[in-house]
Amino acid sequence: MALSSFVLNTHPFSFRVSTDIEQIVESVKLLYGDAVELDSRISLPSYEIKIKHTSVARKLFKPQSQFFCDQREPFLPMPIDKCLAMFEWGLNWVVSAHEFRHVILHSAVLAKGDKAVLFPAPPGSGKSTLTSWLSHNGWRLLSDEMALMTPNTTQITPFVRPICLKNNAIALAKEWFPDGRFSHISPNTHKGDVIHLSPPQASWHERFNTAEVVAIVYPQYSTSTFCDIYELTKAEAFSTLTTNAFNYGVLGGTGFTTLTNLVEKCQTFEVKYNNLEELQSFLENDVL
Amino acid sequence: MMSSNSLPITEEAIVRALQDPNSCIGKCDAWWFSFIKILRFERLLSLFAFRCEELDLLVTFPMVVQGHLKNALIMAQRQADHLKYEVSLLSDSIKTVTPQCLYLKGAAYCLANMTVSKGRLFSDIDVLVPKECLDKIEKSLLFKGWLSKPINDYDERYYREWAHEIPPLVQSRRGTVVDIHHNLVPPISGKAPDIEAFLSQTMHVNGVTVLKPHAMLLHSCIHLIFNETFKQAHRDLYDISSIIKDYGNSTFWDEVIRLAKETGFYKELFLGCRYSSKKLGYELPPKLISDVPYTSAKLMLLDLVMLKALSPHHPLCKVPGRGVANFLAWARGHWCKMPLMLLIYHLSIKSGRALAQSILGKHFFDAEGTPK
Repeated sequence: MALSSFVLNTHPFSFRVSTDIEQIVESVKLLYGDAVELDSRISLPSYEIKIKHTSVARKLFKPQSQFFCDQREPFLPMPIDKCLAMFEWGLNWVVSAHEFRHVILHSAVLAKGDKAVLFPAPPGSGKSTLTSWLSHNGWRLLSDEMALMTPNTTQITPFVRPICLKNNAIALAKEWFPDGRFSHISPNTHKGDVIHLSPPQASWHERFNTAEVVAIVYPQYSTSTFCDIYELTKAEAFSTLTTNAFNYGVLGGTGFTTLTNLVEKCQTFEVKYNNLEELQSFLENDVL
Repeated sequence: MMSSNSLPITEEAIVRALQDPNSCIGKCDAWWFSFIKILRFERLLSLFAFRCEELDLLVTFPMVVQGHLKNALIMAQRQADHLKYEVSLLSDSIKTVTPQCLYLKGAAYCLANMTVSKGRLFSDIDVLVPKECLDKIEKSLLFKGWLSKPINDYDERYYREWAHEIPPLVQSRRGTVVDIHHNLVPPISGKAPDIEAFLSQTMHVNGVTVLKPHAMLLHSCIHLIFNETFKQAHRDLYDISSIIKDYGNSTFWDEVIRLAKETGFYKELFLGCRYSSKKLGYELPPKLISDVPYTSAKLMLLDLVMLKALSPHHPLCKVPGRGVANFLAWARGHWCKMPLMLLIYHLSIKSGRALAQSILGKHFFDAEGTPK
């Protein structure tokens, strides 16, 4: 198959993507909707991305995909059935390897109006399940994985992209959102089975509007706990935040002042929960 | 990887843009898209950004370009800040073993706060220590979290027996890489100088020891010319030009020519300066130009090969005949570095590997060199 090429117009970064993998074209169109511009007005995208079969020979035998950012190939090739996961993680790599104008946190961000809550958490804490739930229940998604903070403010710039759900969360989300736009499953990645879910239209519509962080909530899904809420000290919140920062090291002093300023201006909680409605009601009644 | 609708840019346009960033005002978006990719690949993006910022030009460029240039400036500043911290820790460890701890190249330019360091990224910290102290230093750094990257047995032997440095050490928490040298070129080449000649040409600045500028220039030329791959060599031409511009008075040239002749690197000095000045368009002093260490036929042949090999290597910068030139330059580089029998052995191992990779995919071998 010949190369297809399009511009992925995700605010605030855009990507010129070329690929010879049919599944990438289909899935990206499904997940990104209008942000995929086949005949783009953008003549100067931020980055050039290519994801393609490794070679003609390997197309027939255990086909693999490889990811390039211009000439750089940051990852080893992956089996073709994981190509969408590779594409998504590739975009994350491109942004975190090149962008230093924002303090980037490994965190979900959701907002009502312009009031945002940060949900920083390590993989396996149920962050993306929470993200998908809230974004389908009256909140707008700014990001599932990368919170872009303007240095020395509490402002978050949205970077709306698909939500990455893993393992058990896949069946749950398909049951909750029967009309959701889901990708194919990328099976057996290093994070297990993963699927990507497009956020609802409201999030896409507001993807150019910044929001101000009012709270940081560290979520931890726990089957045996209904909904326990702990207030964190500023020092605890700060040190947990630094372990979830992508480019904290590169930004040095700016990263430090941004994060200390942030925890001082925000409410900071840790929640253990198995009931999403209860957590949502806490967020809407006591946090915002 | 070439994109079908990408605009090629000539080497002349790239050189002109770096020397006079004003020439970029009003360029079309397709030009910028190619230009940014080429500069990033050649590790020249932050140098361009630095020069534009000095001229207050950033605001005249498209927003996306401003973004890339600001990112590059932040990255370069961060490297410079971080270097001072790493070097203070490194020096502490090395000085428990030996007082001789000489920083080289990018790290040295930056520590001495030289113009050449402005907007110059470096991928590792180069330091030179006495050969007999290598083992002890490696062990003392190991305790501070500096570990060897996994490499295969052949490469390990290459480093330990034939090279002028030990395999790179990576700081396991911060990812910083340090290259520990005991000479400036591999002893196996038979050209390794008596390192004392360089050690007598050092200066102390901001708490560290670095080469004096004329010895830095010679080392930069050796690094550029005494090499088999020129993939990212274009940037070195700018280093040479910057050192000459800042320090190149009459005494400087006398000293560098004397040191080059004494250590057997006059050819490298001559060629390094020749190609930097030819490519970037500046004058060299007659005492260097008139003292040609080659016959005119051989110099013509070298020019033919090297002027192409030292061009930017990004595929969007078209250089006719570059493939052949790169091969010849590569062969010459190996020829200079190794005795013939060893060269044949080295190339047969490397090309056997390359052949296997071209058939089975380039990731067929893992880092230790075992087939997966």
